[in-house]
Amino acid sequence: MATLVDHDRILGAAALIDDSGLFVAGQIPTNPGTVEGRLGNGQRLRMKVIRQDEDTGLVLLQAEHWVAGDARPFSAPMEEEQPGGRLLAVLKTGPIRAEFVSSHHYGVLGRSHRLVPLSEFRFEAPAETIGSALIFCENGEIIGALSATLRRREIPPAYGDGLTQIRPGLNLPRNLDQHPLVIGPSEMTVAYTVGPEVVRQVIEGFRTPSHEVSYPSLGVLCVDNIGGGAVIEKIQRGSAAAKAGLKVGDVIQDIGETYIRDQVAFAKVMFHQQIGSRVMIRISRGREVLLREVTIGRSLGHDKE
Amino acid sequence: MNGKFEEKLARLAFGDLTPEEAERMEGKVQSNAKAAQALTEFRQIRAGLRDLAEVPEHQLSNERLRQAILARGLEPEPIKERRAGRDFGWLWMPVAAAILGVAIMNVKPRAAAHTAEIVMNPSLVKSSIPSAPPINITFKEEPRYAMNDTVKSAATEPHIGPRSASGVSRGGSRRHIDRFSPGTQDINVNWNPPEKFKLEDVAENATPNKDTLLTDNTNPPIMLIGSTPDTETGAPTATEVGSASHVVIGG
Repeated sequence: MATLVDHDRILGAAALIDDSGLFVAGQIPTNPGTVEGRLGNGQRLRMKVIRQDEDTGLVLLQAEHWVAGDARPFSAPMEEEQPGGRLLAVLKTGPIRAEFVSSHHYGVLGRSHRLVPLSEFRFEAPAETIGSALIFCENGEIIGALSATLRRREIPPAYGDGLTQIRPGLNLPRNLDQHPLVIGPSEMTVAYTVGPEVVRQVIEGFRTPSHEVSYPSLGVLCVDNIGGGAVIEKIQRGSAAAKAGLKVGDVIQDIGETYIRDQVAFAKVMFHQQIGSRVMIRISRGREVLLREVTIGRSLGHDKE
Repeated sequence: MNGKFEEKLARLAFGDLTPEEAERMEGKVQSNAKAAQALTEFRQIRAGLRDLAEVPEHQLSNERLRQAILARGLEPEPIKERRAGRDFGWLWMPVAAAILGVAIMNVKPRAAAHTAEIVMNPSLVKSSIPSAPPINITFKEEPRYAMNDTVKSAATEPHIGPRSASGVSRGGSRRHIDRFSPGTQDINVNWNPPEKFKLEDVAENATPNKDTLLTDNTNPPIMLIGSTPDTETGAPTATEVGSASHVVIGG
């Protein structure tokens, strides 16, 4: 692990993922292009930002003058965590305990509109320290970088609201009477990171010679269709959908043998496709039902609309 | 015609738009033959759903039956015209007492509840829109076809109130109907549903909700994740949406 510093300002943490000196970090400002990394043994490294995956926010850094074998690289998660499992969240201020909640959620990422599975976890930490956190499970696998936070005000913390103040004027010992005192745990932060399969895709992409992360894609934006299917709203130029002759307004009914109930089902099916594979897509266009063979394309970064 | 416009047409057909929106949509439809046809089809679907009013007995949930019973119980009793010389109302008293006696003897605990399911197949409605698979609506309430009501005699103002905690069953289907003045004997009535039950008998909430029919509730929660970091936390915020029907998703 390395602490990322920019002119003595702590940006976050980075984890070694490859013996060649590749580190991965959470969302950090990448404007300088180069940051300083400080290892636990006091060694200082110059790290160059070489790639950022816009969907997950994970940043790839290359340590200069890295000596192979200096440390053991962290691996990508192989399987899902169990609810209630213990996690380690590495914040700017250091590591804290976190609890895995569930992997039942799906998220739509703002820029790419991509649907990804989410892992939900929670921890207790000041709000200003949680951005760019890296999350690990107990066996040392990288669960991911903190993608988003949610504050659920309707769920009270388990042991009080954490905001109760002992007001001056009460019959209390002098040292307590002098200053208002906040007792109890603070509000739990509910946070999300992209699911383990996405993190695995990203880390595997970062480890390739091109360091590119790609996702299977048709290059379309869809909305739900009344009566079933997903309506194509936009088609990316030069995408797999455009090459196969799909048009805006077409309703995707089936991909392969899988019935598409709505746009969420469409995105889930696309998530499990292989880039370069060929699938039959059944669409309805007006009163016509058409079959088209499509070669699944790749999406680099986010789709340009 | 894009999906959003088509959805608005559906909402117009099902009466879900505001009057201003409806007027605007009507104007658009008049100048668009395809939209007019789609609107006609949606209206046919709506009419078709109404035609499905007769629901077989085994597809009715206990909650609906209970609502219907309670709704009926709240209705003011019709005032019958008394005709001189034909008032034999007293004859019913011994007959009613005999029926109630038999009912008391036949009170039995009902079998374990099971989940009631209504299956409606949109393909029953004639339409050129591509057919969708059957939509299953599952009610969480456990149906209980037997309802035990405690009725007190000597009526005053009818009202319904909850029974004491010990008398309320888990499904909430047991209610204390205090229709009569206190101080007289309590009688348990075992009620059984009629052979056939019409949908219009079970009040407004028995009508299938269009939103429930057209959306699938098996989808997991969808979180919309912002593209810019929150100033407080430094991480984007996630917002949970109840329905993903309006969310644009790429793939």
